[in-house]
Amino acid sequence: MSKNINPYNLKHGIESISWILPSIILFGIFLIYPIGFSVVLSFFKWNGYSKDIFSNFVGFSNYIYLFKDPIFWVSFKNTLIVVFVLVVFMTGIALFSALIIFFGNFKLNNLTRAIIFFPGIISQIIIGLVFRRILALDGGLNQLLSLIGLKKFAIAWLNAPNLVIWIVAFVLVWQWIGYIMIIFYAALQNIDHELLDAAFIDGASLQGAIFKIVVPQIRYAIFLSAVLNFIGGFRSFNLIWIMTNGGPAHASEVFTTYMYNVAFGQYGPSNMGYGSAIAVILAIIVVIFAVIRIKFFKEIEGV
Amino acid sequence: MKITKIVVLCLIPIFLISFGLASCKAAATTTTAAETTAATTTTAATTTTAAETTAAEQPVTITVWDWQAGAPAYDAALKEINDLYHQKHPNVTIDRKAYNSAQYGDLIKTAIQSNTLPDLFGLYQGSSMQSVADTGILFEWDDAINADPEWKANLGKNYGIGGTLDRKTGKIIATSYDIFYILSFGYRNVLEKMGSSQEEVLNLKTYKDLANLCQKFKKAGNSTWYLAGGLQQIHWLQENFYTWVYSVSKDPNTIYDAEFGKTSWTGEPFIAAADAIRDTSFIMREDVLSLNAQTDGYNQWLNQEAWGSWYNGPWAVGALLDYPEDLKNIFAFTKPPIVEGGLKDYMAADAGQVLSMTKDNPKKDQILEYAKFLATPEVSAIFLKNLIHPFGKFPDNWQDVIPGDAKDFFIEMVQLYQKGNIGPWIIYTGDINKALIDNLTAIFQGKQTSMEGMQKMDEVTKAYWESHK
Repeated sequence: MSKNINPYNLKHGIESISWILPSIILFGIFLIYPIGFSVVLSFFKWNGYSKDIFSNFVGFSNYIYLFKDPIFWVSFKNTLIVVFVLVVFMTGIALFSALIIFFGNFKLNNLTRAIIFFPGIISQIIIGLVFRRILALDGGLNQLLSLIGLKKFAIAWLNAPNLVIWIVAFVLVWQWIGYIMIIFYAALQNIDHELLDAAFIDGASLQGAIFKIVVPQIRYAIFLSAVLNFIGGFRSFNLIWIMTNGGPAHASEVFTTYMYNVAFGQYGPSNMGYGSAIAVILAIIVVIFAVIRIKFFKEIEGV
Repeated sequence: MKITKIVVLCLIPIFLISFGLASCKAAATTTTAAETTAATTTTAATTTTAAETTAAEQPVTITVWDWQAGAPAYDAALKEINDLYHQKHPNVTIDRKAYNSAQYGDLIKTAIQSNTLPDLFGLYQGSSMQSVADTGILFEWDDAINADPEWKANLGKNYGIGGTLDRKTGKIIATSYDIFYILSFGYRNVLEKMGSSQEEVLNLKTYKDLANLCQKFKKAGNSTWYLAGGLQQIHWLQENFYTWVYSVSKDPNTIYDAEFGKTSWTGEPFIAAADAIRDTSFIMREDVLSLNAQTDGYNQWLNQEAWGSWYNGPWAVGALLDYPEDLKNIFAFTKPPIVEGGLKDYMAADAGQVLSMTKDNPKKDQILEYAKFLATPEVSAIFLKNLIHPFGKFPDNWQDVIPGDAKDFFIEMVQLYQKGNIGPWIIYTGDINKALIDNLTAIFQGKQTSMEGMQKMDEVTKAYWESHK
């Protein structure tokens, strides 16, 4: 069975490809190739100095070592804490804030939203440096505690191994809460107001209206933000690196900081293969959730 | 199902492209290396003959990279030294670039991969020196130094010191500007306020006595009972552990024997040193785990929140100039050994800012001449003037060269180094170093015993060398 090639379609196809070709080339060089390279590298031992990158094939031993490495598990636990705080606390607080602003009908509604959103546009480097100073032994937080007579609670907050990962996670919440809140606020604009009015006329309480009418209508936004926060939690690096370097004694080490320490850290082992293995595991987790997100939205759109 | 197909279809070309490009790169690298070697042989032959006739006239620029960015003492000293060298050799210009130590490792990796290394370059002893040595690109300095008795004599005690060696071959692969060593600093006035004295500290026989003294201060309600320090960075743990091993074994190579799998980490010197690390937690601040040894620990001490500091050396003296009153109260001491009869006056020391070159450098002769110049008393005088402990021979009048308020203290420190037993500071194998720091931290925190930690070290060391045969 022969196919007739339509000259118009062929010309149109070539033209289309030529338009997207530069993007594909750049995408290939700066994304696809490094990802592939990392996957391959994770099966080798390479310190970054030798030009003979692929001389020491170690099979799956980087992955096997990863599961035996106690610091990897510490970083895994800490990553889960960050993800938990972002998914549960940040989503919850952002939803709460959006509802207050939506139903509160403040005079300074726009200003309030702008203030909450503002940290989201500041560089994480700046935020990290500022909070490092605020949370130091002689920093702003402890000075405030002294002023209100709670000096005995003043500690070097980022030096406390049991607290540091929670503190860092809550700084992340502070930064991104405005962004998530705007997603919820936009979703709230689209809810069916007639349904809400009818509920109030029928005597529904505000609490009942929120949980039985509002939340079900914005469930897609809630799910979207939860997935975004989940992926964001796994990818967190800049702020944690600036604030703690993953310390003290790995107490705030997460996947990304550990990967950086192992592969590039100033005093690290410069073990690029092992760092790549950590990166691959991280990528797999993120890809799984990215696929879930894509699938979910296709279902919403009825594709 | 559709998504799965897309993912699979994406991954297949990724693997194919990566393997393809990687293979091409590896093959290309081999060819390039061979071509380079051949070209170098020819170039070297040509250069040698040409150098004899034209070296004096040809303008030469020697490029130098180090990681001393933001260190005014180095900037001032090296500008004067390099200007002086240019005066003496008008055709040679030294082009020095100082980088931040945090970015330096990646810079060197990139420069090696892209063949853009400068003529002389620093290598951080703890994470990059052995790795670069293993590539076989580094020039070995032994023959050049041994062929020149004056140069070797100028290096004296520092010839073949840690930080300049390929630990696997024992060959010298770097020269240096200066020497880094670890001395503890104390405050006479703070000790006296607590009913103690400099003499009491200097006469302590063992580390246990030192710990007991700190406990006495603590029980008396003194807020400055402790020694300052920090574990956030690795130096503190490394330095204490290595020197304590050395104080028991009395052999500076013991630590390297363990690193290279020639002896077990569960031997007596290692367990004793690990126990001492554990016990150190009783005389340190509660937040010591997260303090940066080079900044927080040092600041505690400068602010007289601690009577002494573990981690100080010549590099710290520059900062002391801002505290001229304190300089009158400061004294330097070496830690007492951890066991009775252990080695006294020991300290961790290494070549500080090292400089290496590649073996195929066509400017080798001029570079060797410059490196030799760096070890002369004339250059040492300039380093001393800037309160840097030089790598080369001191001038006869060295005490007169040292300026100002820090003079007495600097002299005291240099004299301790001159009579001291020099031990290792830095381990060379990245993976083993990482495991050691992690295990020592867990011992310090009481999360594992010394024996458990050292048994894990044996496992890591064995696994490392099995995968690097």
